[in-house]
Amino acid sequence: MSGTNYSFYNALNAFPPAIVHFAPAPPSLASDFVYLLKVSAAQLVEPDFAKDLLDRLRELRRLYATPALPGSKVPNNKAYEDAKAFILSLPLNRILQPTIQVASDGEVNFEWSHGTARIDLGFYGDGTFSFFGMKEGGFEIAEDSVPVAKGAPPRLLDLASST
Amino acid sequence: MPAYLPFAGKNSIVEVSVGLQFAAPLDQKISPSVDAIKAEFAKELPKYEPMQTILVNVGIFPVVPPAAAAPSSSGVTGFNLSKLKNDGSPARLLRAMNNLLTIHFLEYEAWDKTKPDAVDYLRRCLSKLDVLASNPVIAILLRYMDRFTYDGDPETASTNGLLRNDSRFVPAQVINAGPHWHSNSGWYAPLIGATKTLNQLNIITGLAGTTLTVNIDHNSIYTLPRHYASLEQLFRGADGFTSVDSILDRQHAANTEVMKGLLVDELLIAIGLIKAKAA
Repeated sequence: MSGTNYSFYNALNAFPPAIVHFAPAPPSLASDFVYLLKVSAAQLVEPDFAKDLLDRLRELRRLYATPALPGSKVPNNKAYEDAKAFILSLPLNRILQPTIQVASDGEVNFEWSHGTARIDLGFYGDGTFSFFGMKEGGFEIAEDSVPVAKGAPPRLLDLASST
Repeated sequence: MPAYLPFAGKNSIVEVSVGLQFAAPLDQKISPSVDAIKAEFAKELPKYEPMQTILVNVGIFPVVPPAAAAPSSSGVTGFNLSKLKNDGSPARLLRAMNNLLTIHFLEYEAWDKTKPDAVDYLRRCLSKLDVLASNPVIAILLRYMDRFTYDGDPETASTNGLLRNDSRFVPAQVINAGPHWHSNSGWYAPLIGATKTLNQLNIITGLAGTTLTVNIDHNSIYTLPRHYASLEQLFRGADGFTSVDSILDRQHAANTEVMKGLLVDELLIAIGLIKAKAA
């Protein structure tokens, strides 16, 4: 049983480079030599989606600690905290990664832009977010003042889907 | 305060694999059925990759002529059918190889969405392969791979904030023993009646660039008490067999129990395995 389980364990990766079976050598081949067979694995490592986005928030917080332009505002702490809570509520393994920027009016802005779809979503630090999304052919979605605790609505996730 | 994060926001699952293990390799049965299988999954899993078995002989002197290094089978002996994400990586994948038929979900969302698809793929694929009467299913396999990211300086990481201090699924030596540790174990536990399932649990920490990640790999292998030799036995539980659907549910529940016995409540809440207590 251990043999079959081991075979399974090797095989049940999405990206197995090779399956290698070892069998006893016939007596005519018996020798004292040891063969070392190295098979390099094309390992796919998914990015640390959540941490990458939280790192981006921290970077923006550092870069825009003070207003960059006359008359502009920097996002308040609550806007960053809302953005963080939103990130941690997203199914980041099945949607595309957003680009995160800050706007001169104090908004923490998320943008998804892929193919013919585009989503613009923002936080001002009042515990809510607003978004607008569109796709070629006239498909549009929009909603204002969605509580952060409610998370992203399914139709928004569908538009941001990675497939 | 640094904390562990599910690697993908509300999801920690990198991949879920569901599989059937057959008594013998499927090799010779693949080739005649592969066109029908491709057509069956043309919409859902449009990318097709054939596989061939290659025999490699390693020796200290040429005991076999060079021709022996050629493929040992001239036909297709396995395949990958996949659906790709926009970035070209697979979102889900159906594979027949050696004595395994497996489905890999790399955009896992929830069990109640994944299991029906998995069972449906297996049923449709096997109805085209037509192998069960001569090559029965001997084991059902379910594997979860979870990943957590440490959101802080890797040198300050430990099992604190990740594992329960009293978890029975890791040795006491790894608890709060710094950032680098691993735990590899295997045990048998009852799944249905007296029939036991092999659980393999491999937990490894490592650096991905400058980020500390923890991979939790839980593999459940249910060796069937009786071999399944028909679609009806496998999918409808005919002749007193337990359906694959029910077995997978039990394996899934067992995985949930392992995670509950392993992770701290904060992470179980984050990934939706338990609910937060009302304030």
